[in-house]
Amino acid sequence: MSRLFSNAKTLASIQPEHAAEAEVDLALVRRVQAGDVKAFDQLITKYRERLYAIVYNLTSNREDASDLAQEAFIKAFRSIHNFKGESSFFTWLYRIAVNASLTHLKRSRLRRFFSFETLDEEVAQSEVIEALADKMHSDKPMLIKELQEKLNEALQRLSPNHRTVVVLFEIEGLSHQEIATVMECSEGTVRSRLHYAKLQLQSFLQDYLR
Amino acid sequence: MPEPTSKPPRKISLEELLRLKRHERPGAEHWVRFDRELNEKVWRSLANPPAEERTGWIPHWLFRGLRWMTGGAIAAATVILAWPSHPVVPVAALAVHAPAGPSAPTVAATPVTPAAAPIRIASAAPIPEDVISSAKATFALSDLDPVTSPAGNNKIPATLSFPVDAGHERFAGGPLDTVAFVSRLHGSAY
Repeated sequence: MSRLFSNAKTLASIQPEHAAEAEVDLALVRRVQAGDVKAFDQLITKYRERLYAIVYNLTSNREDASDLAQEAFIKAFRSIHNFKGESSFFTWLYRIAVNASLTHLKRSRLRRFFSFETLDEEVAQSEVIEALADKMHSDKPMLIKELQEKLNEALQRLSPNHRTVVVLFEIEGLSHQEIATVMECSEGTVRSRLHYAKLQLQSFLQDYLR
Repeated sequence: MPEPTSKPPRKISLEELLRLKRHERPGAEHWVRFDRELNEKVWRSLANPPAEERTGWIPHWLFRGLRWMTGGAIAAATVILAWPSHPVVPVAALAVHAPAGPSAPTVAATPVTPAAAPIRIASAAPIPEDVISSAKATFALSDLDPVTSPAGNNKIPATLSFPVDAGHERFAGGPLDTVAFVSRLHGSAY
């Protein structure tokens, strides 16, 4: 009874479009906790791309992103018996990945380098790239390459906490409340970090925004 | 009314720019490699669990506490063993040399080199037998006014009671109070 109440409370606190997903995840987690290791493979397949994207956008390094995302899955698997369902599985998993990434960034702040992921071909047809190519009278492939570098550079100039908020909100589409759960801070802190980070990004990327 | 020849450039928002990052995605071959590596890592970690997980019945917090305590005990033992067994006396401007009294003039001729760093009295100079027997040690102070010292000697020979340990081989007191020492010298010897 108390577990049902706790689950209902948890699902009420997350975005409606994520609620159904959270229920499915919880069922999978219960299976893993009961000893069905194969159920964890389903969770990996479901979340590996999103988890990789978060870590990649935090580090701007493909190799680090792979390692850290794998590390996060292993940690999650090892401590899944501690998962009580008080938050949704994905916020719990994201928290593990974000913490691992922030620790990594802190450790390697003096010897960092970027290795960018390939941009898919759809981007060339996007409205934004068309508009920018017109405005800047530049060749699309060159513009895309330059923009990718500038965007990654701008994100890396933010502090890790500000970068995390921007990545989770603007790129991954999480709500303020979900980000607050992932980062273990208040929603107010999330909003203020987001506001400050956007001001900084606007000044770094002003050539494209004018 | 003439139609405008070209549209004004579309304004791009920061959010639109950031959303372009959603297109940075690895290809299918990346996920094959990712799954293979993850599988290997999972098996490796199952074969070699982290130290905390190998403790069996000991709770993790207790295991961590024990590790810290062991480290602390080793550090404490190292400090105790490395600590000098007899006190170190800072004698940067104070040098120990031969006894005063009847032999004082010859002592004054002996050059005195001030120690550059704190030294042990015992290793600096053994106390002569005649001084030990009367529980007195003789010291000279360097860098004093040569006008006030005898025969142009800028060292002050003096005999003064000094604490000597039971073995009569070394100074047994704490750090020397040079100010008090000099004032006692002026009061007794001069």
